[in-house]
Amino acid sequence: MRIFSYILKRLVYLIPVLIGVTLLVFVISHAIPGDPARMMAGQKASREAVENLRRSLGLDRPLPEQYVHFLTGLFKGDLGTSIRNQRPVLDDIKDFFPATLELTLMSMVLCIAVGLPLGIISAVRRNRPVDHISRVFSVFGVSMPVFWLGLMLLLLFYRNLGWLPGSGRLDVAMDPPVHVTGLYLIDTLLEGSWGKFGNAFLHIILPAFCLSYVYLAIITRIVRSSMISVMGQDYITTARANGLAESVIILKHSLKNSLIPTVTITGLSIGELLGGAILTETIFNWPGMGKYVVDSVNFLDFPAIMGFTLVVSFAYVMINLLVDVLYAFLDPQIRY
Amino acid sequence: MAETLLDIKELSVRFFTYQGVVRALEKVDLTISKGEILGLVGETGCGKSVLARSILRLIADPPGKIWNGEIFFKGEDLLTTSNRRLRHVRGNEISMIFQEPMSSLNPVFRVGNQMQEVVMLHQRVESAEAREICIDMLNQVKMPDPEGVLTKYPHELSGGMRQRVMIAMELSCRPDLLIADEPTTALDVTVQAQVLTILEELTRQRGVSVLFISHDLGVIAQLCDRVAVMYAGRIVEVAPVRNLFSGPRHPYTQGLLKAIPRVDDERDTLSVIAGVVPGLIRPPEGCRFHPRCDAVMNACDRVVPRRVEVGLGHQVACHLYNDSSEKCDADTRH
Amino acid sequence: MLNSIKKEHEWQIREFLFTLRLLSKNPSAVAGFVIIATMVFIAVTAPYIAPYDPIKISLRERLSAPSIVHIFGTDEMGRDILSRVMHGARISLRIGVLVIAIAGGLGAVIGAVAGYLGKQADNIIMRVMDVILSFPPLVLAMALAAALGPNLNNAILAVAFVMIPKFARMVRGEALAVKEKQFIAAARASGAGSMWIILHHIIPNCFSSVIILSTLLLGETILIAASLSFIGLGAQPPTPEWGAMISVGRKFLMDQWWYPTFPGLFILVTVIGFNILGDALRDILDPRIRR
Repeated sequence: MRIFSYILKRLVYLIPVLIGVTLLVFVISHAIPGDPARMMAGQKASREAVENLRRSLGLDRPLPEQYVHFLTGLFKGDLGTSIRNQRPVLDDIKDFFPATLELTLMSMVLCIAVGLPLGIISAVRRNRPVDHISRVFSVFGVSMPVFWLGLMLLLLFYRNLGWLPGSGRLDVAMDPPVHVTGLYLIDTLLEGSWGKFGNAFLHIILPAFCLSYVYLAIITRIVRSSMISVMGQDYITTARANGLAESVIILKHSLKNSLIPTVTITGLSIGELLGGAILTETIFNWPGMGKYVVDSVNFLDFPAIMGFTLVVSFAYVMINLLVDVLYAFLDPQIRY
Repeated sequence: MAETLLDIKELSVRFFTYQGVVRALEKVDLTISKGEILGLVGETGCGKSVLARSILRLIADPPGKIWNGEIFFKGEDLLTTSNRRLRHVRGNEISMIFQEPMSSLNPVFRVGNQMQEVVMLHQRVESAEAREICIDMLNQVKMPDPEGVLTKYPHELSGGMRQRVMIAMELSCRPDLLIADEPTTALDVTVQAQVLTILEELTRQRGVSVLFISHDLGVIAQLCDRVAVMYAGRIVEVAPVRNLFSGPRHPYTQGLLKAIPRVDDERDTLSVIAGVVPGLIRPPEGCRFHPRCDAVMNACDRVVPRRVEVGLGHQVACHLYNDSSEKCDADTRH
Repeated sequence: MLNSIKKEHEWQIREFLFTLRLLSKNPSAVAGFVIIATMVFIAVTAPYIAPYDPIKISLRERLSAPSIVHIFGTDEMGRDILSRVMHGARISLRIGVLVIAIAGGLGAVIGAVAGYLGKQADNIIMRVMDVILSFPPLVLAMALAAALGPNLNNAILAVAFVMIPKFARMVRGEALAVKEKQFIAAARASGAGSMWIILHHIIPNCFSSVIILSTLLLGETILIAASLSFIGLGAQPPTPEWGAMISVGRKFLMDQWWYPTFPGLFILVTVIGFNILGDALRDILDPRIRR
């Protein structure tokens, strides 16, 4: 089936990109800073410690050799050692990843659950009030400073209305659920602690909304414009001329065609969510990778920053591959 | 005289655009009888497609609006029936084939899925029986390997095959009227002949009336029983096909026929109709053809000519043939 | 050959005036323009019309609520927030213009070269661009800014770097289309070198797309720059940059709501201005709509 050769082609293309990613991260971490050893040892380290590190990490060797060393380290899972706590960065990231995953997934769900219907309605009721409102919403979404939105949400829902909590994944007094997936919403259910589930849910609402806001606007816009363009196509006129009901025309014939660009953008947004999580997690004190890297920045924990960058970009590239594959499933013109 | 199937009365359609109001159709009258193939001929932009789409209320609103008129089909006015009744008519009692086979089928669904959907909707049968009906129809349009075609996606078929699928799909529910809007214009000449043959055979066999729209006079001459000529949103002449080609009355029709180059022609310049097709936002007053007409008279730029009989079943809308001494009456409004 | 260049320019000027006319009729374009013009005005005149010195400390008045004396209130050092926000406009717009100038200039040249040379060169250059685009923009900017050192100029370089591929990609696409046109062949036939053709023919033809992209990316640039400052990698306190102000103001959110609110509001409005103007521009320059 052509689909396998398509996937294979994408994979083959992926490899140079991944190598390029490692190369770029390497250049940023080893070649750009004035003294990489000092960056990795920390501003407070003694000169002796810096020299030791320089030798042990091979930072005095020629750059190409350093790169090979860097790559082999990556294969072994060595992302460097955090200055703050002297732990391997990979371990730190593994610890904080589930929280970010949960937040990202929840945001995605929100984006699709709200963005898709809103986009469809905007397209079908083009130029009516609903459409205008959602277009204004779109512009705001794309222009919104996420960290400011978070603060405003906190001001309204936490301080003034007191409806929702302002930080963390659970009330401070509560213990986290037994770790199965790392996603509190799932783990609390598995454990049967309804109270904790409710609490975790309340805690995730604001950060998830904040994180998803930008992409909700983008997705609504994409769904709207691709639906409009699809509904102007000849095959939709044919369907209508054949007497099909309007709901069937919208939900069966139009939607599947609009999904193709929608899925692409949604997939790409997941990658961007990983970046936006940096700001949202900081505002809401959400203990995920984003907050981790911001704390690292404040501490000038250079290895941690680089480790995070590498992990996130790898994930971004992988997600793009997945989106391409999904695209092939949705568009038969690629498959056959 | 055969029974009237479709009766279009004083149909006017307008499009509201940024540039102004486009008067696409202006008081169009047309009838189609049971079992006849009526040709509708005219240049691009004269309103043929708008007329075709109006019948099934497929005009996009906005920007278009069916401004006036009635379309009687089986005793009811299609322009005012309920949506429910309209959906029952569409694809079932009146079917339509469009010009571009490349884009008329949904690219993300298999052909079988799309055909069966229509059959199951109108004939209330289960999927298996619908499939049988579809295979039978594909055989009728002489499609090789009908079962295979059902599993294919539209982009896997050629243009001619796609158009045949459309014909099969639109005739599957045994409509009384088939509207064919330039069905072969986008096809290669050789494929054109095939598709036209199939179309003619099937419709004659089943007694389906056809509204055949084209700008190709040759095809019209071959296929149709009667022909209507349109110009700038109005019907200017209607006649049985032989009469139209042997004795056209309207100056526009005459010009059209003269413009067709003939192999045995002694002249070495092509005959053209002087001038250009008018824009329909501010169309010419009176008879819309008058700026280009060789036989123009005094009344032509003020009074809209009414259609009159000039022979058996032959009608013309031209002041040459009606009493133009009538001064301003209601028809100067347009 | 000079004649054909002159004709090109005449045609471009006419197109430009036509675009302006269309723009003036489009409500969102006008709205966007008004917003941006206001911000530019504030930025340019801030040193003269700001009511207070943005860095003057006045501990007696610290953290006071918005009032007639201090319309946006004061911060923890007693500095007038309105004045700081106005000076912040200077900084943000300066960042935006610099970033777009660098990224647009470099990106356009890279893209034009790639598109014009084609084949291997195009392949390699575009792969490099793809690698840069494989990073979420903020993440890459953050890494670069951290490596270069946390200050405003480095942040500008970091954001510019992230934006380069976007320009390169677009210009490359246009270059591919333009290079097949007749006047390029004519230029080559009269002995023009590749670089000359790229600079004098290819790039001017991409002008309108570059303008649109610049307007749209200006908004994104300001957001990323403010985010960097918020994290601590761009402008450092006491610089009155909007993101940096929010970063400090965050601590005071609960009791002194005005502190982070006003700078953020200005970010939002400015970026909205660029976005709606950019959208309107893109709609207008769409060849299907132009007549």
